[in-house]
Amino acid sequence: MSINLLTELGFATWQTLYMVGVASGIAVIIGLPLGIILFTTRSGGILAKPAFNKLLGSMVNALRSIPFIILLVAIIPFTRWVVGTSIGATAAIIPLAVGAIPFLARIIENALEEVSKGLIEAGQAMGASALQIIRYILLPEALSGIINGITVTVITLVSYSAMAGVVGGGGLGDLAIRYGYQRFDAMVMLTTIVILIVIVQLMQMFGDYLAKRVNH
Amino acid sequence: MIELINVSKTYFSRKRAIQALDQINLTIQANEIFGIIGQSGAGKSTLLRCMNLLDRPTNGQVIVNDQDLTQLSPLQLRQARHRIGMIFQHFNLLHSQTVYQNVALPLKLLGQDKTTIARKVQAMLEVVGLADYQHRYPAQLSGGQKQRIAIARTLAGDPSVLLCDEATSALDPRTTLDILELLRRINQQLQLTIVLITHEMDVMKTICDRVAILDQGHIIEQADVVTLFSQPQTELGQLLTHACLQHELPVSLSQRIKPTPQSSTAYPLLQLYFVGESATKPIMAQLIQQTKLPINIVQANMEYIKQQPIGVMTIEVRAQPVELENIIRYFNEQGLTVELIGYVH
Repeated sequence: MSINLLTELGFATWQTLYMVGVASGIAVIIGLPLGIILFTTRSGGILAKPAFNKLLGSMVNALRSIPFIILLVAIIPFTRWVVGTSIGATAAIIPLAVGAIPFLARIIENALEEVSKGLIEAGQAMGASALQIIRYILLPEALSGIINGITVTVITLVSYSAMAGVVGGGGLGDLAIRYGYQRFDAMVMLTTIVILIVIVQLMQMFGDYLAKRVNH
Repeated sequence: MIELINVSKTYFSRKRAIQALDQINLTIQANEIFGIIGQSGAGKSTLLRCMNLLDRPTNGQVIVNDQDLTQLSPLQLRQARHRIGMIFQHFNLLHSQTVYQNVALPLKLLGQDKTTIARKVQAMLEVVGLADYQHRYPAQLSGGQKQRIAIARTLAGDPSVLLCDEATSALDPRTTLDILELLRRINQQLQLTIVLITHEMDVMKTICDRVAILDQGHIIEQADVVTLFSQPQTELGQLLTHACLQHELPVSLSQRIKPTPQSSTAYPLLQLYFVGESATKPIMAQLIQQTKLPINIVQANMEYIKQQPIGVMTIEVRAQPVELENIIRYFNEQGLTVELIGYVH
């Protein structure tokens, strides 16, 4: 493997981490509240708005049913509007985030569902407002599940990011396609796969560690 | 003081209306321990949950601390709830939080500062006798300790009323007694009104001042606990109290009881209820001395309810009808309630 190729590998690794990192951040910032809204506005929930909940739920489902490769190109106008361009790693962040938001929101919703109804009632009996119940009861009690959900989402984003090459986003997946597949360079293919495995392993270990720390 | 006026609650389940509570009228005095007992499905839990509007009644008024809760805005209701504590069968502690953080929760909700919270939490943990457990997590505690923490948590908010939803039903008998003792103590020390629901008559007997029996959404009987145990007015009341005093005649005997004497060898069976002072007098001994009649004690049981002795005794009197009238009169003069349950053949 030439020095040139090694530099390319390093750069591709950085691109992958950059795309996944920023997209995960956006996904958490929007997906977490969205998951909370999905859970609390259900009928019988602390902010019950059943009609709104149904509408929001269908929108989330619609977004989730689009295959990522299609989403990537379908929202190009939106991407261009947000970041000013539709190609490059930064441009790939937008579809990655858009794909991850509904996915994470559903996972957060499920994590919140695990919190016992009795705890929510205890909060209501204490005179807690809906926001206080979310802050002091739902989030702390579901934290371990939320961390697990974020870990799953981030790892899913690593695999989605392999498709970013379609919009010139670069990254490890793109490198593997261009050198490993199109130029029959098995070494590059193998190396990118190993790097991806290591990244995913580390992420999973870190997520598990955090989830365990908050679980008592 | 808690006052329920014409409280009804109807649930809709699969378009079928279920009447959980029907026209309940109930007054609970300040500083008393009031028990609501009933079989499962009687509506006890719904009734209790109407007292802080966790369940909103379909009709009627719920007046707690001179406020009609049903008329309050959501914000006012939350403020009113700060003064109404509640503990649960399954404790409902936050597992992710330490004992300290759990007890601090109502204070955080009230937006109090850290020093006040620290002082208050320490004081409440001392009240429940778990001051050394601040840094533990609920998973490391026994059931009784969890309920103590839940009590400390609810007391931290300075409630004037404490609602107990089957608070001892998940605990063993020994721990149940400890928790009831704690409730009794805080009732006296903190001038707290306590309402508890249970299906265990023993709990009522141990702690309550007054008791209401709930059956299919109706309060069918209401009395102070000593009266209820000595003279239950309803069939369910008798069933519950008798089961608790363990006063069931053996089947071999109860099969031989007929309502009227059918032969000269049939002897009357009397059931006597001793309450308070009458339970301490040698009534039986005097009767035997005076009448020289053979009296056979079939079954007897004596209990102390709120330091008041209550006794039930079933006796067979080898007496003729004329003598029987005199005996009953004698018992009544001594302050006993007498019931002729039949004749043994």
